[in-house]
Amino acid sequence: MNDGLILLVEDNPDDVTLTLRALKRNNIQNEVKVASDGEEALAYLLPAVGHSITPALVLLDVNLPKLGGLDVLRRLRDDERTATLPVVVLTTSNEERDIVESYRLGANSYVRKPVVFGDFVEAARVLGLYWLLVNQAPPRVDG
Amino acid sequence: MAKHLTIDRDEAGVGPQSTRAAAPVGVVAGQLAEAPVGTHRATPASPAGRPLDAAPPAGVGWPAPADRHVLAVLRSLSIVAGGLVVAIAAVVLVGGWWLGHPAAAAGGLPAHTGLMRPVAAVCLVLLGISALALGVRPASWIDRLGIACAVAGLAICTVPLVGYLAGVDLRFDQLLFRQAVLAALPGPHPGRLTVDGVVCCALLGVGQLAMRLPGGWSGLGKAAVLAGGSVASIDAYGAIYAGAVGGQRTAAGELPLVTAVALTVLTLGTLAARPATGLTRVLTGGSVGASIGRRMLVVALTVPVVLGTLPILARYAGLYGNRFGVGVLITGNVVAFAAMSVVIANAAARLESAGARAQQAARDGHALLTALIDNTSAVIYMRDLGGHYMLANREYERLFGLRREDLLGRTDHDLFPAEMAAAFRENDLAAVARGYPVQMEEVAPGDDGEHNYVTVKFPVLDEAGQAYAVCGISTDITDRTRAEAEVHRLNADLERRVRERTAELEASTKELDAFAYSVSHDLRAPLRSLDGFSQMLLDDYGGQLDEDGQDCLHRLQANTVRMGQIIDDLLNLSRATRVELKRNPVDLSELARSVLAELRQAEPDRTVAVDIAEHLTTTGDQHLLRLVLVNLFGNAWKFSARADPATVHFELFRDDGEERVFAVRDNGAGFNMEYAAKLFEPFQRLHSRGEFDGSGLGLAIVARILRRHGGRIWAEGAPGEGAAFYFTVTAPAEDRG
Repeated sequence: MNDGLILLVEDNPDDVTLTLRALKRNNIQNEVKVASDGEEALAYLLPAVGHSITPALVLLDVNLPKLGGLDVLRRLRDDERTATLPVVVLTTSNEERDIVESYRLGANSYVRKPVVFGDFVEAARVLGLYWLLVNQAPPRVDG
Repeated sequence: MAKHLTIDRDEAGVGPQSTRAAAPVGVVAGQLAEAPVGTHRATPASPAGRPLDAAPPAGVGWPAPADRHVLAVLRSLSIVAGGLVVAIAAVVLVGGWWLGHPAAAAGGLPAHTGLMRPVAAVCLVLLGISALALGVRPASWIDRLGIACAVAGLAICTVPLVGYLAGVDLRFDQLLFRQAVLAALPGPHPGRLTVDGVVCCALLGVGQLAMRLPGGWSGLGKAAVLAGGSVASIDAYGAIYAGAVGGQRTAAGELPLVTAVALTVLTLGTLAARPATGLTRVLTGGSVGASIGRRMLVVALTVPVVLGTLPILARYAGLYGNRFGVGVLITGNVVAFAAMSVVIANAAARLESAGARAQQAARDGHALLTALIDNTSAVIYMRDLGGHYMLANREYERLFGLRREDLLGRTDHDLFPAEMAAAFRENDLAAVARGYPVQMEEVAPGDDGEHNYVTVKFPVLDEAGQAYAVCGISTDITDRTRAEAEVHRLNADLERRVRERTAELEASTKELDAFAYSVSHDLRAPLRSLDGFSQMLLDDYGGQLDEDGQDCLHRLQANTVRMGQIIDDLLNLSRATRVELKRNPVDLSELARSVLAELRQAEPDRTVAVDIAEHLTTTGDQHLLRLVLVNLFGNAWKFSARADPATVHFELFRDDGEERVFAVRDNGAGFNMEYAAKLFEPFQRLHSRGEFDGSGLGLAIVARILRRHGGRIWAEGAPGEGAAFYFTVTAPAEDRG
């Protein structure tokens, strides 16, 4: 039980650093676990053996090595344990098909990472405020 | 050719005897006799009416068919002559021998010219009826009566003939008649027929019977009749001459004058009865020769008689004696024959030249037709119904390397592959079966492979309407068919290439899509790091950097932002091409207000007077049209930054029913119209970056989106006086939202 845990699925270490920095600049103190590809993310969330982590929020990139972000999302939604898990797609692309496909697969939100760091910080602030404080999460399903 | 000859014979079928040799001659003459006389008059068949130099009628063979008019006249003559002879004989029998008037027995002539024997009179009645029947109608009851009469007459004269040959008087001919009358006759056997009479009657009887037989018998019969007539004629003139020189009696065995004259008339009548056969045939035709012959015959029958009679008459009258008479006779005959020679020679010469002219005309006609078929580019040929060549033209010879002489009589099976020859033959027969020209396509070998022909085939008909040959006229259409094939090939090739290109295009669109997708993901991430870490540097180590160092970092960040903008615009530009258009009704006014709201939010300090007309609706892709307005309003907003007060208008500029033209105007920096065309090209900028920032892609994106919708865009402006952008969304007259 990790109350307020954030799982950041991101393969680019620069982006990991920047995201962590942006969260920190907003005084979001929640624990952040980083998975650097899709398989690792699934290993955390839907492990074949052992306990899974149950984050309050998943920040999911689309372009990932091995297993892509949208495939991860599909697997999560197919599994009862993670079907209602809040997942925000946080990515560089603003391609329409990515946005449409994300929502179709059950993303809770789609946020494009701004190029300008100041904007990124602002986006992180809004995300943290909304998903960690404002939003009422569904009850957890323990597998 | 054999077929052709047969038909020629049929054409000449009007002529008797020359054609249906097997049929009785009488039948043919009968057919002619049945034709109404009026028809004869209607046809210009009068031999005298035809000029000598006129070309002979087509299809006339030799001998010429009998002229119907002439035939009718001659047959009437035979009937008249037969009737006359019967009448004379009847007068002799009834008046002379029954009632006892010697003058009647002499036929009205002086009694010293001799009395006709009663048996001779009976014989003449019978032969006269036979001659009359001969001229009326063959194979009828009259004809049968005529035959019976001829046989009876022959039988009657056979008895005294046998008597003469045996040297005894059978006295048969004296049975029926009164002895008193017979006593008036000279000689020991007063009623007995003379030798000449027996011979003459026998020849005439035999001749009349033979004339009813077909073929050569008929000719022989006429010869017999002529021989008998000659005997009678000799006796007649002999009697006249004897009378002239003073002799009172006929010589022993000679005919009495009345009998001689009657037999002569009977001979002429008999010969006229069947004029279209035997000796007289040549005289009955409608040809010029027959016409001349007939005139000559008249001369031959009259001139010697007249010339021979003249001295006799002169002697009777005591005008001149024998010496002068013989001179006149000989000289007259000489003159008459000489005149006939001249006339015949003249006629023959004219005929000959007419014939030559006709031949020349035929040759000219033939040469003309040959020139015609030999100078055409079409292939012309004619084959008989058995498929044998009858004719071919020069083009045929050239194409197939054959001379027409070698072609005659051969068939296509001798010349072409079996399958081809069979096809030709089938087409030939099809044209014959149809009976009219049939068009078809045929294939024949050529120098460079098979050639295609469009062929018209038609049956060639004789006068009776029967086909005896097939003519074909073939035109080479190989070039056309090859061109058509080439067009087909090129079309197929073109279609294939279009498919290939389309596939290539689709592939490259996919590639572009994949490229844009990866750009969208991967190109922006480094920029974000650049900006982010620059900011971290400023945040964490800003204190250790002097003003220049901090400025460098700020420039780095500014360029990062700019690069991000360019990437976004490039993606939009490619998106304008890539994405599928979704056409829906779009309210441009509403879109414009939302775009403007964003602009105001981004720069809340700007004061811009914006006027957006209501209900500017159209049909199009909402997403892309929003991009259009974002760029147009973005430009208007940006370039009017130095105007005070800045104004932006969005309105319907024109709606002429064909198309709706929208306009976005501002009172900003404007542009030089010289560069108006460059406005819509990618990366073309009319202002320095120091003045107005931008990627140089915005208007290119706008133009591309509008073009994809079927619309267009153009601009008007002047430096410092603002700009106006006019655009249409849909193609003219397209359904509007």
